[in-house]
Amino acid sequence: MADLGFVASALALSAAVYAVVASIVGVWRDVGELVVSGRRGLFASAVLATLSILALVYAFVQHDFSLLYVWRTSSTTTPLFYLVTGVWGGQAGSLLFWSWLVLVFASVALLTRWRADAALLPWFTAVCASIAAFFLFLVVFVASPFERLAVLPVEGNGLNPLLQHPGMAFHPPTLYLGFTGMTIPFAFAMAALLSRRTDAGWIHASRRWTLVAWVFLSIGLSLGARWAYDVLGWGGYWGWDPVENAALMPWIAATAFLHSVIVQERRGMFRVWNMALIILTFALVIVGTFLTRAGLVSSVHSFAESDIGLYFLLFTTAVILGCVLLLWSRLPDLRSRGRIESAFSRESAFLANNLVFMGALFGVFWGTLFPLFSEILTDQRVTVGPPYFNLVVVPVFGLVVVLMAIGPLTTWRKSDPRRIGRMLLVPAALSFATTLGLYLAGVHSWVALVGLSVCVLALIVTLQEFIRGTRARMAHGESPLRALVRLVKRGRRRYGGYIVHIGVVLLGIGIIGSNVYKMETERTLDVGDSLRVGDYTLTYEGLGMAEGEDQVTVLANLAVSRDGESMGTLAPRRDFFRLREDQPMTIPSVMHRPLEDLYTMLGLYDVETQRVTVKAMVNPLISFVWLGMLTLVLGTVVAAWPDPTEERVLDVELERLAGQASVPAS
Amino acid sequence: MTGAAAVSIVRSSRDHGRSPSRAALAAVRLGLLVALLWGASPWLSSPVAAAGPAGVTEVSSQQAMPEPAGAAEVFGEGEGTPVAPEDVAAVARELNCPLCEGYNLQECPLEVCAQMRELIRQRLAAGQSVEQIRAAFVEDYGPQVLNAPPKRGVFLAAWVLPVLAILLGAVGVAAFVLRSTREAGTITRAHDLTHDEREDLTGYEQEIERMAADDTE
Repeated sequence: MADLGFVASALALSAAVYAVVASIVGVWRDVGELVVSGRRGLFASAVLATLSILALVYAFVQHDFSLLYVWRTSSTTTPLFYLVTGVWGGQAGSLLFWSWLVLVFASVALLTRWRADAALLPWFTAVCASIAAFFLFLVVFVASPFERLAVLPVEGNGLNPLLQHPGMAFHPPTLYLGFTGMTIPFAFAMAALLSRRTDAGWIHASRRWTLVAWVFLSIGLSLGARWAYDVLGWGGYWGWDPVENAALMPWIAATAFLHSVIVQERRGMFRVWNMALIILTFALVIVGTFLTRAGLVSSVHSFAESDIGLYFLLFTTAVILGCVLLLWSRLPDLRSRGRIESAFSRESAFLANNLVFMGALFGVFWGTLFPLFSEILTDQRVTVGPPYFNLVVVPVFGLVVVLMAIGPLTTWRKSDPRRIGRMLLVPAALSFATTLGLYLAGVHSWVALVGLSVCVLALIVTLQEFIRGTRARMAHGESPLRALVRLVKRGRRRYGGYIVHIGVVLLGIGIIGSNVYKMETERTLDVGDSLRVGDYTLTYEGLGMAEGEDQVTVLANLAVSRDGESMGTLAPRRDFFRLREDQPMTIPSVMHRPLEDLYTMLGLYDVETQRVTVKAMVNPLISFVWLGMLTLVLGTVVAAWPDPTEERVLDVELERLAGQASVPAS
Repeated sequence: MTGAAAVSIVRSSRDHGRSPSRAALAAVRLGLLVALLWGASPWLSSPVAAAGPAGVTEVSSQQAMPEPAGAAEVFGEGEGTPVAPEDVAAVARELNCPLCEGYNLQECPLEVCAQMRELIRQRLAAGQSVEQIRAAFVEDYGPQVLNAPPKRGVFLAAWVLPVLAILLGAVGVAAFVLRSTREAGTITRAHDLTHDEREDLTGYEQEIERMAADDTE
């Protein structure tokens, strides 16, 4: 079976290479059969990659420890669920998984859009197949998950215990779905440049794909945050770790793209810029995979280390250089069809949005790679951690929220500043009142006050948009609920986007609360001692110990009470895995409450005297973080949900554009 | 938890052995070492205090970590003026765990880091300033022990460049908008308005009303 998997991956590589060659030659020499054959080559490659993945799953389920990869990431006691997730648990498997996803996505895109964009698709096939071919090349020649061990071990090494968590099982694949999903809009953009059909066709074809990829990236980031909070045991959810940043950077670039693309659709402007953004997004996806999978910058995520860095460096350079040259050569095709007519307009609001996102992106990029530059230039390796990002990048994200309060009020072409002022009046008053209330209630940190007032302002502006629309429809005799539902249905993108904005505001509130007002205590306790954190009293009742098949667990029993009232027990613990004793896990025990979490961790412990150190924190408003992330995902789903009416409109538009394309653009 | 089972789970190795035989050898050596120490001191039930792997011994040789002699010492019930845990946390949060990358000293679950926090507490209690403590850590572990580069010299670039980039970008965008509006002012206003643009001129509310009217028909 394992040999079959290897042969399948090698054949998938040949099929992908064939798809590239056939598509390019086909479109070059105008041979329709070759184009069709190239497309079939991509399908064949997808099928073969699927086979290869299945063979790997089979090897895991059968505990085929003759495979180095299976031996390294699983054991006979690994539960079935984690056997399957083991497929992407290490470097070689995740590279195979990556190429498989690209091929499947590309196949789906080809099947659904073949008729509509016949001119783009041969190039699209070629671009997707060459990206898949690069990853398959790595799988076949550099890091194969089907590599055999010289001896046949009876037992595997076991999956890294840190990864044995449902969040970790879904976090990497969703991130990969996001990463690979971004290759689709990128491939459409490249196809547009290569075929010189740079009208809005490629945007229409890839718009939904961009949203889908974006939502997967968002889900992946959220799951990673939740996993860190539940498992890593440091009481936070985002550590500005290089690998976290690697996933955040394409997300930021894609967010900027999703916004500025609207300007191109509406006004035919920013056409070069949008190309640059999608290229940037894809380049960051490759760099992100590179950072994660080749360990360019070491971090807690350095689960995967190997020497494929050079190949990635070459590929990244080739992609960036190739794209820039291509874009350069097509600049005359991309002349803007409109002008910004007023500094007060939605166009310039979107420009400001892009400026701010690019600023945040650069801040993250610079901070992530500075250690590298510093090492090269000064021979001194420094660490760039949270203090930098909190000071340099976080305020920029604050500006994003400010823009969210103004942007929706602007109109295309020319806005009336007085009108915007009038519409801001009520939200500003409410925001001021809230801030004043918070101040009187004892919130004195100016970071929290400024941050929260901006969040409230943006929230009310966004809600106001829903109210305005619903009111207008209610004037036609619809009931409030019906009016709201229909409003959203008739403007999925607009209102889905606003739901995302609400999610971001909730996230912002959660971030402010859980960072500025975090309370933390660490105490050494004997049995019967108690510790106070916030309004809570934790009384230590003794050590507990549990011996499982795979691990030994040591836990501290803590009785929680508040104002003399018992609230249950918490049991922070440490897990020692037999197969990975070098990595004891500190598993926090958390009491989730609507407005704050009580988060406890077990530090030192002494079995003889039962003395322990316990770290306890109160994380206020952290539920807003999760709620915000959920809302953001929900909003994106609303915006991306297929809409027959919209599809029809787009098709008509596409035909119109196709008619225009025969006439050279002015 | 007693005897061999405890011994085998209690060691802590930073050595992610590639080949199983190397790992096994290391395990045996470590096991022996731990068993020895276990016998010597009743305190050694916690993994890292048992020392052993390269990184940890290095730390203890630099005397950043007290000898695992007694609970009181490790848990730091000690001398000097009392220091608030928040003050220790504030210092620790800006230092990295020298052993595992990605954690700061305050968040790191390793015992060595608990002991380094204790060291910070002792130094604070002895009246040392935050800067002195940071300098001592830099001396011992190199500049990467700091959570963020110092704001001076070459490292100032880390802090300043993003801000400069945004300012420069803002100037660029402003120039673009100004030029664009000037050009737009000179071209004729006679546009073939598309459906979307009409919507914006007539006002979004009216557009919604029109859609609502469509839907009710």
